[in-house]
Amino acid sequence: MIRAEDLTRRFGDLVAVDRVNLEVAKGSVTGFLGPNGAGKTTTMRMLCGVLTPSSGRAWIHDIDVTAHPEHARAMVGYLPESAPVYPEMRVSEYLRFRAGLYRVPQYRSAIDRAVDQCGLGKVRRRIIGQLSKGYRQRVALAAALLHDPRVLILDEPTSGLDPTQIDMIRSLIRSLSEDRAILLSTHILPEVEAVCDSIVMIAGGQILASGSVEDVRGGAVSCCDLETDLGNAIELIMAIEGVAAVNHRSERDGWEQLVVEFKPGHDPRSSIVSSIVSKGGRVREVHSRLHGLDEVFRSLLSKSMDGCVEQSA
Amino acid sequence: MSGIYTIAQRDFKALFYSPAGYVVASLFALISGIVFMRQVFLSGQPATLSNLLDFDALLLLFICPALTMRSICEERRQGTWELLVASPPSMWGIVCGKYIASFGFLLVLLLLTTPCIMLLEIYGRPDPGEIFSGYLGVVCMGGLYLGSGILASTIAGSQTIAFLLTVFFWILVGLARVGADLLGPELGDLLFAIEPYSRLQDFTTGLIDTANIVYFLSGIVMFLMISTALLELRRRR
Repeated sequence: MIRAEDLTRRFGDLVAVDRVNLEVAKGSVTGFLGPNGAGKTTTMRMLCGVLTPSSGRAWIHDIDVTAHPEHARAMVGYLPESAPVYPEMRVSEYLRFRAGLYRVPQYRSAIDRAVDQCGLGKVRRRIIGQLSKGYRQRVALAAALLHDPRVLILDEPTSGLDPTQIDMIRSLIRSLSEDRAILLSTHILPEVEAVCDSIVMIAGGQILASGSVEDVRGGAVSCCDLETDLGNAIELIMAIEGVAAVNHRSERDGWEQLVVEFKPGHDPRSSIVSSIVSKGGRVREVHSRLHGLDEVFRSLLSKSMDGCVEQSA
Repeated sequence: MSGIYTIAQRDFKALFYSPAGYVVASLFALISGIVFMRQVFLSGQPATLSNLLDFDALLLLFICPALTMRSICEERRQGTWELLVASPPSMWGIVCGKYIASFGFLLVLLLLTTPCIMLLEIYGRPDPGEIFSGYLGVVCMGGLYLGSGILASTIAGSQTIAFLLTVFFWILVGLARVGADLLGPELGDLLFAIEPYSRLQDFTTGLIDTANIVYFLSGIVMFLMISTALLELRRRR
């Protein structure tokens, strides 16, 4: 449904997006992650036809974005980052305007559906400028859904919403994904874990990692917190297969608190405990921690930064 | 086409969302009325609106840029431009839609001066052909101002700069006409050919010249095409 091949965008000498390849299939939600200035918004703007790629190609529902921009744009529901709306218009009036832009045939029922989906029933006659940020965000989202697009490109769709509204929008996105391809950019990593099937991580205009949430997270090292009274526990644990590193955190009443990092795909907790016990030591606590996406992302980002430093050196 | 109509309809309504649209229309009607009573509606004066229409054309030099200054740069400032560009209408369609909206407001302004025609009809024997020609000239002139205003709104980063750019451009064109004689016959002829004021005078004195209509129409289309090209360039660069 969404496909990009070597998508590149330059602004003068600056390469904002560098040979990005991505694919979002029908029925899936892909999270687009990256720090500020990573190239997420520029990539999304190219997919929506707001910007023309410097090189590379992109397809929306098999329609080439560069060759047939007007047809491709008609297939996309786009919610930009700041959720812009005309503050002087009423909600229903704004939605009618957007329906007209997309030539929605039965616009009244389409507006009713979008209002219903985004919970705007109470405010549909209100002036947009008088609404809270959360409601304005929902108006912008309703406008993106009006023409029942096959592809949704959402730039931070939950920013400015309260927890209840966030839950509502997340479940709406999940329900919409059944017969659509959704590309969603966000800074909220738990949101990606809650909503997305796959992830594309981008920094410096280049893709750092992509794949299913499990795949991307699975490549990271997990760890556990351990408390033992064995004196030479660090050397002992380091010798166990699957252990990547052992760090001493603190010592209290003769109990050493250690952080044991595992190699990818390994979980040597039981071996660690049995080794300590066999040497006459005791274990008071083993608390495992699976690394979250944020840690994976930080680790990938620091690796890419190191790469940049090495290249420039 | 439907996209153009939708954009034109929204932008036209937007001119009435704030009191500014009503204030501009009221002031235009009031000033035109005063000029009509002081300069035209006098006993012994010929029953012609040419003085009023010449004055209205001067007023439009300031009103038209005020109508168009918001059209593109304000959309860019509040971020709604991105949504327009991401929607199916082409860039040309968006620019035309915005132009049609402001042109519609120009027609509303001129409609407000029609009571002057009625008064002239009641108390005198005006030449309907001359009145029609005069109004056509003012519509053409206003249309040209609006076209240049759309271009200024495309180039400028703020509404104020867009307004000033349009007004000063047309003041410079007017001054060039004054100084044309000093610049030698060839340059003088060229400046005379591109300035619109003498063409407007043809209209207000009752002369409809096809060359003048072609001049105004091609001027408007040129401004809109340059605006479209610049906006497309911005999408690519």
